[in-house]
Amino acid sequence: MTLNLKDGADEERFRAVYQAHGAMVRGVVYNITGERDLDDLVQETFIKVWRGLDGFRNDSGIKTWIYRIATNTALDHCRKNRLKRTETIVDDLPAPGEGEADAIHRDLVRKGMERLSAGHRAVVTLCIFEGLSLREAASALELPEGTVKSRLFYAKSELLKFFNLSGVLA
Amino acid sequence: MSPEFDDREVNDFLRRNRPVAPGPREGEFSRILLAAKSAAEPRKEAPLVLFRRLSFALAACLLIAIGAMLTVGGDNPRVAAGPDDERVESFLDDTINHAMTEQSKVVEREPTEEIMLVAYNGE
Repeated sequence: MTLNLKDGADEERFRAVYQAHGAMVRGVVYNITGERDLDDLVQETFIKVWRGLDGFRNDSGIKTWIYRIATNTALDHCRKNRLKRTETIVDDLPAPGEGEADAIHRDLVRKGMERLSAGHRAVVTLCIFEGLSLREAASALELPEGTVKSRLFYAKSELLKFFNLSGVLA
Repeated sequence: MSPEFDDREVNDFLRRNRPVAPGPREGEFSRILLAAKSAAEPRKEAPLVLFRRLSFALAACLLIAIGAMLTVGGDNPRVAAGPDDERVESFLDDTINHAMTEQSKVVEREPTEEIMLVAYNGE
């Protein structure tokens, strides 16, 4: 109900938060769920951010909070739909400035991620792709640090097996 | 984990080749803001529903109150026990009087010849 009382300043602040963290939210959701429903899940994440933004007047801890909302939204979506990471449409052509080998490696990482469970994808996304510390990732995922560490170890082992089988890192 | 690669090398490889999300569609922020605002708006029928609920509760209270008043103020034998007590009392009085009258009749009856004879012989 209080949201109706939000004024222009709140909208400006919301816009600033979106500009600062929009790409991060998009990346996190994409790496956990895939491309299908990506726009809807990004929107759902930011609606939750809008609702709770009043609690972060000084912006301290807002990044971890947004990570938490984004990962929870993505994981909930996976649970509801019992989805593996959905197949994405990948261009065969390398991106500008990207060699053919880079394109192959990127595709390989994408395929390796699709083999992991949603929980393991979330850990890899936060700890490796987003560069969060174990503590920050544990806070975002609302899990003990030990659990995050063991999930990360398992996920990397599985990815390495896949890469070795593919002959990339052998 | 494979012994040929250290942890840092694996992390670097993954980070360098991380899957990149497709860019947002044009006007994404406007859509999100609109959706956030509309999600926050109270539903139009909400006050009507509240009014209906209050009316229903008020009507129920009134019915209960009327029922209670009728029960207390009406001719309910369980609650208004005064007249009944009097009736019971008078019934008991009548019964006792009747019993006493009957008893006195028996006592006052004149002795028959047989009784007189038995009494005489007994002496």
